[in-house]
Amino acid sequence: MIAHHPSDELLLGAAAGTLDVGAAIVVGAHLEGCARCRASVHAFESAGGAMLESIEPALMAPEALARRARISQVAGWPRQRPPKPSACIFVRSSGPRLPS
Amino acid sequence: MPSGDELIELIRAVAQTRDRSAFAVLFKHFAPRVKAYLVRAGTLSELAEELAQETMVTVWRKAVSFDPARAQVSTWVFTIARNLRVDALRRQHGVRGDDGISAEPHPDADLLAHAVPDAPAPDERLAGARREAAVRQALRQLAPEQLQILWLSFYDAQSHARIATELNLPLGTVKSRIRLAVGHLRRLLQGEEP
Repeated sequence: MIAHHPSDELLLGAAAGTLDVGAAIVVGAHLEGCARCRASVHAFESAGGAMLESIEPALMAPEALARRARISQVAGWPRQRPPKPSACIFVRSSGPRLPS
Repeated sequence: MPSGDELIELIRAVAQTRDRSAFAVLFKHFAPRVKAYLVRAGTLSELAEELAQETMVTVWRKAVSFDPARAQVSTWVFTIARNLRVDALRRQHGVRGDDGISAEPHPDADLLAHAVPDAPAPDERLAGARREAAVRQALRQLAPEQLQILWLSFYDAQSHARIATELNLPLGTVKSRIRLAVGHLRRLLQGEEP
């Protein structure tokens, strides 16, 4: 039924999320019916995970937690301040602790 | 840096007991990496910051659905960040039609945004852990410059021109190197795929 498989480059693009919408639709439709290409995309996603592990971390902005109000509205997000704010980086009013 | 198994334990602690200190470790490990990835992928710093936060909120909310048989934690976090990035791009620009950028998001934008289906078939789920090991093994065998070009293609495949500029190489060379790197990875993985 499937005459042509997308190129590795397209499958990598699907895993990386860098395809434009048209290509994403075409590749997505193919993936629905092709286990072989799905396996390739999942392999490229694993490479994406390895990329995330190896990337040089960025500094998180100290003021980022100004958005805490919005984040705390998320269902299930811990609302109350813990006894020791420094032990919990995501509720400190001064922002997240920078990676050491 | 926490090991893959330690990360799985941290996710489990968040999923089962809503363990905040475990989440704090996950946040400290992943948020700066997700932000770095998003910035490299062309996301402006402020939005990258926001999406990195949103990625971690999603980790907190969906920890219970994480399946270590299917993927490593870093792969799971990567796919969350990738999907949020794709969604943000679609929201920003609408869906690009034949005639350029439309003013309004496409009504089906949510459906169209992700090329990769969410739920794997059961047999694919079981193949996950084996695939993770095979991919990492294969990546260790890639030459550093092939690894570099593979990482760059994750950041923005639409702009191979930017990669060419960054590496000071002709565009055609970049494209052929990406093909080579991907082909090499594919050959290393052969036998691991159906």
